[in-house]
Amino acid sequence: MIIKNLGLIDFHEAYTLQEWLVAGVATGTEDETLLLMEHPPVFTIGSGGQTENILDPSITAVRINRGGDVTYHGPGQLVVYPIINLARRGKDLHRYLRFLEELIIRIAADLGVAAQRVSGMTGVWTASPPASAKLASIGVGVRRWVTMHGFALNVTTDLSQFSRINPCGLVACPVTSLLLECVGTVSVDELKKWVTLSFEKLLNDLLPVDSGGIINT
Amino acid sequence: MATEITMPKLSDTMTEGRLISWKKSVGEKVERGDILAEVETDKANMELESFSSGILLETRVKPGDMAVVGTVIAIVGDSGEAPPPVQKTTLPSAETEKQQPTPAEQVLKGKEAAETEEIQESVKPAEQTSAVTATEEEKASPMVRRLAREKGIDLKRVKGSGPDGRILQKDLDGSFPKQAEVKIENGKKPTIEERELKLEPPKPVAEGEVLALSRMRAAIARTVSRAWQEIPHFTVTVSINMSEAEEVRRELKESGTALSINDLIIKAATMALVKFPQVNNSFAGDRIRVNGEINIGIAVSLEEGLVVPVIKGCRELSLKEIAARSRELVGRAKNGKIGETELSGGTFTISNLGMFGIEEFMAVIQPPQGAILAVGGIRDEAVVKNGSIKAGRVMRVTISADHRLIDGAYAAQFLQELKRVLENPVSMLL
Repeated sequence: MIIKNLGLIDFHEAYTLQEWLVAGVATGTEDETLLLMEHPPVFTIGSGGQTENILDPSITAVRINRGGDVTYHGPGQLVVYPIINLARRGKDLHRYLRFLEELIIRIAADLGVAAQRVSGMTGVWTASPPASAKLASIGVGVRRWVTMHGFALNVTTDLSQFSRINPCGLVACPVTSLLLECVGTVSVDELKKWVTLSFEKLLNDLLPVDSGGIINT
Repeated sequence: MATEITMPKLSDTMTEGRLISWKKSVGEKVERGDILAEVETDKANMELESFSSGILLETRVKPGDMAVVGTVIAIVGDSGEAPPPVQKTTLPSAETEKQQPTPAEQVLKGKEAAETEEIQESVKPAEQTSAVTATEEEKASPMVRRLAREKGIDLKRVKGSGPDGRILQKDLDGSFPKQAEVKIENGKKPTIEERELKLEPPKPVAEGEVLALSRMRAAIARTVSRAWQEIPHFTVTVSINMSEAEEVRRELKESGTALSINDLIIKAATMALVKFPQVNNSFAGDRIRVNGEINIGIAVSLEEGLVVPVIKGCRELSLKEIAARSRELVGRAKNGKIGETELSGGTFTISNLGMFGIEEFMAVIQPPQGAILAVGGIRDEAVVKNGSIKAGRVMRVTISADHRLIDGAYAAQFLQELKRVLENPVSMLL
């Protein structure tokens, strides 16, 4: 697996790169790739998303081929786009979503932040009531069983931007960040290290390559 | 050769998917490998590829609609080729062929779980027409067939004005009224559940109209289906004389504390749960979760469904605090201004249909909770006390309990305690 740190990169630029990689991974000319980045401020909305969830009329959200509704990306948020060939990893989209959640939950736990799934609402949420809030959003697109898009984890994100939308289509959905939840300091660069360290192992544990498949490592 | 395109199974746990958009339009040429549509399950979208070449003859699911895995959603074939009849749809297993719902039914399957009989009935004519319109007996283009199906028109009853009696689009205008519309207009009164869910009179649902599940309806459908399939429910009912409770409520109101009968029931339920804590437990697969907190959910009906805001930490709250919290949460729930955190974490639920004049009913447990209390209205009834008949104010409550967690005698004792508290309401003020 190839892991690339793209730094701060424009959403459209990263999108083009993803498309190119998806085509390559599908035909076997490219290895599975993990892209780590931050985006300059941008709102995106899944193809099935409802425009009513954009509350601020001055926002133009980019409509993209992922699941889920509207979300915000911006500096201080770790954006991770894994380009993974699910054709050889069990062809199960729900399992892939659960894997992404598990990865985020474990990394949050390593930082001392208790996070959890909420049944029926894909994403990662903080556990401590009464202030359970959304820590990471997930939205995936799949072409020929190769994944694109992925998850966005709020590290030091400016959360006020989320008040301009109904995040993920949920009215008044509280959003939080690792900075607010953990004791001490965190940074996107530090989180990139955590993801780099744990992604591939957990992927192979939870979505192992089918026996007989070719392992591109 | 026409090829049927079905809703793909994108996960072992996927039962249905949402058709997000068609990437080709009917009549357009399709090459093997072209993307036909985009399909969503959970928060993942899949681009649906065509495995055959030809013309997209027909699409059977509209963008935004849910379809059960395996349902035929489109037909790709040669130009001029009529789409095969819907009845001949090849199904995953031959033995289940007879029981398999038609596509119209399949699309609506999730909805049926939560909607009332009237609504289900109204879709039945649609499945007949969709089957009829797709047969090859009447000459019509796929476009006209689709329009007819959408409008709920039986092509058998339309006279074609085209060559060889071919039915043209204009022939569909001024066609027969839709059976379901007529049916609803002279139809039965809405059922109780329907009134619970929709306080406004239900809007007529046109025959053949296939409604996408709203997020809320989909969530309700998922929850109640799971509850009904997994939980062995049993119910116990008790009559409670509410005269004293009404008196206490009046007195408190006069002294400036506004509270509802439901607030008294929440407080009484909390006290009964403290004494019979098993009713507050949750079922967690191979173990029982003992909930330290008593978090009581209140079912609130909205036009588009229902939500259950949760009053957390009831054990520590006074009657007055419960009333204030309840009023605030219910108000915000009705205005759609309620957050997910306030809808989660419940350990027990109360559903009150008393305001509709209901005497008693049974509610469905919200997993993983162990029980739900269904509360009827307070009525004047003759009560025999010490050998003489007196007028009483009687309310019936029914507990639905998960038999894996709670046994009948325990549920009965819980209700006995609830009755004791409500009939001696002063204990709630202490």
